Amino acid sequence: MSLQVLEDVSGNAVLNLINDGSLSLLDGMDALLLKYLWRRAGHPDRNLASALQGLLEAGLIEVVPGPDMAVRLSTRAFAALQQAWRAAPGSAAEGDDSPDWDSVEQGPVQAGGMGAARSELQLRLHVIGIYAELSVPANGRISAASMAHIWAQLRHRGEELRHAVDLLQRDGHVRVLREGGVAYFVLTEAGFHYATGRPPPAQLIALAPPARNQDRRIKTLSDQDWIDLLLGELARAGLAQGPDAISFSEIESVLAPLRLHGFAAIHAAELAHRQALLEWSGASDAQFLWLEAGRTRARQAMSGEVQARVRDALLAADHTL
Amino acid sequence: MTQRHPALHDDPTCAQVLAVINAHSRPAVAGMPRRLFNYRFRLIAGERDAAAAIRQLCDSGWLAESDDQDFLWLTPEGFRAILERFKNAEEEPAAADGVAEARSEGPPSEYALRCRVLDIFREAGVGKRGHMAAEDLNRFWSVSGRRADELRHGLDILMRDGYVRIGRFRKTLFRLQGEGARYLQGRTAPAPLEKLAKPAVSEERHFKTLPDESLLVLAVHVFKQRRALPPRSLSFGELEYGLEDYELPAFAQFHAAELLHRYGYVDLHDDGSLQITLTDEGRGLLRTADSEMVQWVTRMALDDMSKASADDADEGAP
Repeated sequence: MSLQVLEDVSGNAVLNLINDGSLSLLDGMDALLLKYLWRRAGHPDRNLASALQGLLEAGLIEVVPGPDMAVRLSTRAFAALQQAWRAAPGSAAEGDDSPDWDSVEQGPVQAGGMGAARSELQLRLHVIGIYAELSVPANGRISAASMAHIWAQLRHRGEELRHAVDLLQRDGHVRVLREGGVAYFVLTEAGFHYATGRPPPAQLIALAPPARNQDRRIKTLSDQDWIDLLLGELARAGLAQGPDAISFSEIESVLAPLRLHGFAAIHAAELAHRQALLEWSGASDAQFLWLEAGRTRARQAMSGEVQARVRDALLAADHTL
Repeated sequence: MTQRHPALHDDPTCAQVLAVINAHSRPAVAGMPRRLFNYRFRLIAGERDAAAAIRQLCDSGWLAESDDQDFLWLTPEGFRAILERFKNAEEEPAAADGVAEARSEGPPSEYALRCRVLDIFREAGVGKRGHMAAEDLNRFWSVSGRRADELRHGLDILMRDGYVRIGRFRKTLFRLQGEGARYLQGRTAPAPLEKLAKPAVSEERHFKTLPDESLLVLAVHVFKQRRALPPRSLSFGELEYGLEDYELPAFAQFHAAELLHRYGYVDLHDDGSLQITLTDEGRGLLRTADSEMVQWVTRMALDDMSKASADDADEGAP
């Protein structure tokens, strides 16, 4: 519920964001989270800066000292917002007071019933999306507390953040840095490269299997090795020279003999799409189209040097089942 | 960002009340539901009563309550007071807010998870066939400071055991079933029994298991097989061993023993090894369990469980 306490639209929006998203009354709201929610709402950055400046000068917000920049409501803003809150019509319970339980299929008990298990790709995209939204550069960082705060505001499950960070660490996209008792998630060069690539279409995301706990901390390949592995195997199978289109089933088939983990095919294919080597066709039978850069990379992946590098990486990884 | 605050009031109970309101008001100016407050306060302050402190804070104008006392919030005067105190005080270790303790207990057992989730239903005033929205359950769980995946695990266990049912309506709801409400009303396990519960195993949350009544029948039968009718008793280990004959998973063996105690069918004596003796009610259960109908129902339940286990094994086979 947005409360109206200021004429200035941006200032009013910031006060509402702080009211809704404060970690606690005294700790206020993480500035990164504020920026993230501001951008997601489609507001320009410059309006946020000027709104914050105006609110500070008017004594409506205060800066909270600490390792992460945060702002909290002043007593004046608190009083104004509370008055507006008490005057607003109550947000009565929205239905479901007496639902028809007989109409609900019981079905098998699954995963806590709080939504289906997400895929590795979805988890990765959620976290990478936060770095991208905040324009974090390579080797830039977000504190673990800020990330958890943003994650909670997005109403994702807390356990999934742990899982997602494990995946990003596994894939070399993020590393954990501890400094003065504070943990930070640092976006690596590889992570930045990933974040700036082409986002996958929804149909491609839908192909990804649910993430598995046992895959989150294994030693795996770098993004470049995954791409060279996939394109090299496609070339070896004669699929890089001939037809323009290859199906996801064919990608799975060429990787199957290597007995890789379940996430391998979709991860490699998504990386190839992300780096504009393959193009998702949008066809109903899950097809990719070769791009010229992909064919070139596939030829390079057949070279002895690249094959040796990929083979070494595979041998060093926990992949063979 | 810090969550370590100086005491927000000279009176320790008032300080704890204010710390809870400060940390868990959502939105910040709206305060929090009284039941949620009670749950959080009990976790950090045990049986200490917050009522007098709340009255004192309301009288001094720091807190306000809704007319029906269902909601509690900090007034602007209260916010000003704690803010000034916060700014003036030097950072000092705050009174523990329970989060650290809740996370340092080690992996919880199924028993602990079951009790923690059902405790929320109790605190929220949800009775038999009453329901709670997933978002409300999440909010209670998050103020407890416990790990989010443990809530999922706890709910899976409760659904597996038929204590809670899920319904996806406009909101996702969890309904407390009759068996869950009955469990809530029973006796809690004494520490020596609770200590014997093994850490919960993630995979077992989806196992097919037996209904409580069948577990009770099997468990009480072990006493007969082992010729342990009063005044003789069984050790917990002997009971577990006897239950293994039915190929029950370990979590069900403990659950069966705990159910016997919960519903007053056994008494426990801890003399180095936990000894279990049937009560008069337990002897009555044994007589009931001997009836052909009960035996037949229990056999059917065991067959169902074995079949489900075999199907799962087939699905998992390469």
